[in-house]
Amino acid sequence: MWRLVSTTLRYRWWMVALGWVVALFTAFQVALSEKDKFPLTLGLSLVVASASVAGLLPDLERRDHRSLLAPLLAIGRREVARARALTPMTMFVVGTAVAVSGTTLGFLALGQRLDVDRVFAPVAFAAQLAPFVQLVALVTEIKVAHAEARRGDALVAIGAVGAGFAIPLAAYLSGPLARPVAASLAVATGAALTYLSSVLYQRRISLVD
Amino acid sequence: MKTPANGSAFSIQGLKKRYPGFSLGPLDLDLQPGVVLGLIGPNGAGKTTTLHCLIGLLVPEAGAITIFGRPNHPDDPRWRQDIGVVGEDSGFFLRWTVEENLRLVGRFQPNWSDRRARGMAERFNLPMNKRVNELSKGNKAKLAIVAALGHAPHVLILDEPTAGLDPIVRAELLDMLWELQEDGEHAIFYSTHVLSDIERLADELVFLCDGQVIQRTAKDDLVESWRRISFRLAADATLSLPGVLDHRQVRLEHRVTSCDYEATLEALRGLGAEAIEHVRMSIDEIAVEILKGKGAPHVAAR
Repeated sequence: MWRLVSTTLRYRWWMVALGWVVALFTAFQVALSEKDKFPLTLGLSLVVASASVAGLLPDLERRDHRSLLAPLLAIGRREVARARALTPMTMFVVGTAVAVSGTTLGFLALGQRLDVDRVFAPVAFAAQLAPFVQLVALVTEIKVAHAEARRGDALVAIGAVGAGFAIPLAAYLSGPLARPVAASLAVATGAALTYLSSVLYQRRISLVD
Repeated sequence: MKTPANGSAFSIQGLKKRYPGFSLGPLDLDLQPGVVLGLIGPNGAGKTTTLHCLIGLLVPEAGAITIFGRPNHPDDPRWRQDIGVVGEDSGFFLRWTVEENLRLVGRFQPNWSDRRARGMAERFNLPMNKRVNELSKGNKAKLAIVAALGHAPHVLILDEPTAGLDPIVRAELLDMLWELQEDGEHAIFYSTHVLSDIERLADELVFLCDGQVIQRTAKDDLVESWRRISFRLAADATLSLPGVLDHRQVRLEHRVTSCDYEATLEALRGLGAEAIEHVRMSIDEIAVEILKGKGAPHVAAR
């Protein structure tokens, strides 16, 4: 499964890299007026860029008819399903790690103090975006389930998309004390949506995108 | 190369698949090792649906499919080692080179041989360093065939591999397949509606129409038994000829299509027909007759 994940990541690396360049440019723009905000802006921009590219990944793979490659490879449907679901998440996690590194380097470059809260601010932000990374994949599963008359699966996926929006929103609206709990909840939702996306793919009647 | 000792290369039993407005099967089909089986049918006959069920891209409503005796369960990848699949589109990584794509396929196929893949690519003049999105349609088809054969599968499944190719490239691809089947150990299942493609390759033909197999026959028997026969006979003669599927008459001149020309000729001689001439029919012409629903012999006097 990880071979499939790493293959897709290697193939799409330039898109993530492009996203990161845009994030860097955005951070520099902000730094022109408010230099001190550069590290955090960079971190958050890198997270947003990674989440955007990761979220679009399933659709890009679908457009390349990647599912038609599966019969050439000695791999099973379950493995393909897990790889499809985990690839965007992996890209997002890598992006978040890069964001933390970028933020740290930014603080160091500006000679600012490094404290855990500020360095790991991109992680807290990323946690709340985690459910969104699977949304495109889940919308695809809704369409497929609808087309294949799997009404139950379509309803589950619609509910999951709703939860994907509601839980991060609740996390955002919660008070500062509840933020860690809400962020954990958002991460758990992201993980659940990833699992669901994999299960729904395995329940498909047609594996051709 | 040794073929697995499990009888049929593949076996399809009671396969059923339904879409709104279309129903495939129940379909029974099998393929023996070393045989080239052509699946012929018009667009929408169910060829791709059959192939997608066979290669695990589609889950049928009913039926059992085995590849060398092993069920084609979607979660068990072992049966995939015995098949090579070539479709109109293969989902390759377009910005990667031919070599990178072949290397990728090789990583997922335990029996993959780089030497074999390179050898084939060289023999077919496939540019290894070119990106897939820069390849011509013909070279993309060649890549698909090399990728499907690099692990030396025992069954090659082809779904319209020559669609959209010019005649020269098509001939090159058919030469490739011709070379492949020369060892007599590969089974090939070739779906197409371009009949000239399989005229040379196929040992047997299956005609599929509206989701049903309407005829399966050895190609040579088909070519041997079908004829267009012209003859002269009294205009008021009532024709009741064995094997005749189509009959046209202008005054004393008759022309019939027969799927059993020897029986037809014998009957005509018995009726005292004169100036009897018969010509062979191409696979194209025969297929059109069969797919038009004229597979079952009947007498058509007009």
